[in-house]
Amino acid sequence: MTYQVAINILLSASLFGLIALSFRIPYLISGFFNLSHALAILLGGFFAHTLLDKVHLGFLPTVLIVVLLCSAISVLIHQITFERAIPLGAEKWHLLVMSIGVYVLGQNMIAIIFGNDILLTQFWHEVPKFLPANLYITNAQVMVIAGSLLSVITCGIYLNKTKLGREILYASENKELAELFGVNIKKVTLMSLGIGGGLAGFAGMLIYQDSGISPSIGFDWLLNGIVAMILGGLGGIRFLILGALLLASSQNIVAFYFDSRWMQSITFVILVGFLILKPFGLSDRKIKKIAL
Amino acid sequence: MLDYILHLSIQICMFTILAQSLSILAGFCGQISLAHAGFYAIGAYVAAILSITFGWSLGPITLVASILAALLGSILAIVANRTVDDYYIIITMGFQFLVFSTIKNWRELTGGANGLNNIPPLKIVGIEIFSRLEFFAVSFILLIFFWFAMQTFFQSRQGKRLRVIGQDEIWAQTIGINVFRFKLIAHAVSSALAAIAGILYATYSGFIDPTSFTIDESIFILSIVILGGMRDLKAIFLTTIFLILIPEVFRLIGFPDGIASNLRQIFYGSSLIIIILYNLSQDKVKMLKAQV
Repeated sequence: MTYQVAINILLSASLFGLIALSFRIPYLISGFFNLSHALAILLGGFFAHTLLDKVHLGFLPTVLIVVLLCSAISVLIHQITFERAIPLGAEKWHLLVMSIGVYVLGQNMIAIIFGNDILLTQFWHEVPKFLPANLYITNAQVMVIAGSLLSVITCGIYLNKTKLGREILYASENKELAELFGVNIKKVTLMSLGIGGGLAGFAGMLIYQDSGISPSIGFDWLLNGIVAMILGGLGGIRFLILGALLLASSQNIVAFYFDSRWMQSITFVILVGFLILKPFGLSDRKIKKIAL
Repeated sequence: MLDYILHLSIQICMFTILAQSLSILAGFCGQISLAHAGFYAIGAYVAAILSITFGWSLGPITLVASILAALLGSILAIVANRTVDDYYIIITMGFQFLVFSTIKNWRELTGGANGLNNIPPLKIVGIEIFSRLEFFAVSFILLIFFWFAMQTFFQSRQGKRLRVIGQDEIWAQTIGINVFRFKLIAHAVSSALAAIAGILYATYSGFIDPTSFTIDESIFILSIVILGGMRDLKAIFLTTIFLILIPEVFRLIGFPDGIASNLRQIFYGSSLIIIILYNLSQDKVKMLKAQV
């Protein structure tokens, strides 16, 4: 049974980590909580539904199209909305409220097109034969864990080993200084949005394959991702993974020892506990965001 | 027809109380909260549980519900005091999910997804409020009372201090205003008023379930406040009328109920984006004129 709990933790942590990373990359550059990021998660799921189960496209072409579309839409949303507001002197709360508006708009358009019910897929849903009989994990869940790990690792390598990736990291640390050293901030901002949107879209696709997707789940998943990011703190990606593991462990341990009904509740309890006792997260990296 | 008009009028009264109470936080205190539907739910469920199980009357129910909501609101304020802007909204989002998850999953107490029905009607000094006209009269009197009380407070010396906090917290601190105390009181009062709106809703509809208290409801209340200009209680009232009537217009045109509700959300989602951009451009024009 303990192995089953470990598998469940790994499964949740994979998705929390992937969403946290997808949120964090553009957040560190733009500097505000863009809640419309939840829309990219939803779009990923619904595009995957259309391509896999309606058009019957293969898995890899679907991944490619979903990631590209979600990247492009995230950049487009930024250009149409936030990019117009920032030069007008928008404060962070203006952008935050606009992002809620964008999410509500997108979520309801999706609801009109696809309906409000949960859409499930049978793709990858058989149980692999190599596992012992007392362990349960579907192929879709294996895909979730492998896909998330692969994309987090690829993204980490891209950010650290390529020129543009390093520029994104420099701009995340200090935008003004990076600009002085010749980093094109506009290009880097759009790139970070594209990477974040693509990763969120991929996360949406994985969520669709594992537990299904409906227009109302965007904020739930985003909240888990953001809490994982806060728990990890704003240090390196390894802290973000630790944050995701901590959140997933707490939820699954509560589900195992008490009741799965309280999995969501523990998220808030942990968030509040951390903000009081360890406000800079596990990494302890000081940022301007929290005033004590 | 009269019943239908009264039903809409009662909804307008309840949502105006909710939105005006949120404006204490968002407009006057500068705290954008997504937890208001959570406090609304607390009022509704406390009213339902105490009246169904123990047969309590309105007075004690109001006392218990508003004290409980004020207490939880104060706890939120204490946690929020340790954080600023973006993190605050995540905490309120977390609180909203916590309340929703609790009312949905604590089946023994709240009836879970099935909700609670046969909630006794409102009883004031021994008189049962049965008809819609009587209920509208009660809601309208309450709305006018709270409106007057808030207006008087905001024009008072203390109210002006609260306004300073909303405009510039650091400045407020430097001129000797106890920011934390004001925020604590603002959270407590705002939450208690939302709970009272919840009591009205539960006793009016006779049935409550978690779907009336989702994060979408919180976003809707916040949208009313923002579209109503944050601090203008009259404009908030007019915005409430407008936003409550919009789906009715869509229904009259012939859209099904579900689509009408989605269209309303699309309308206020896009309004949020447009109004923020419009306000920012107006501010910019004013600033440029002042410079000239």
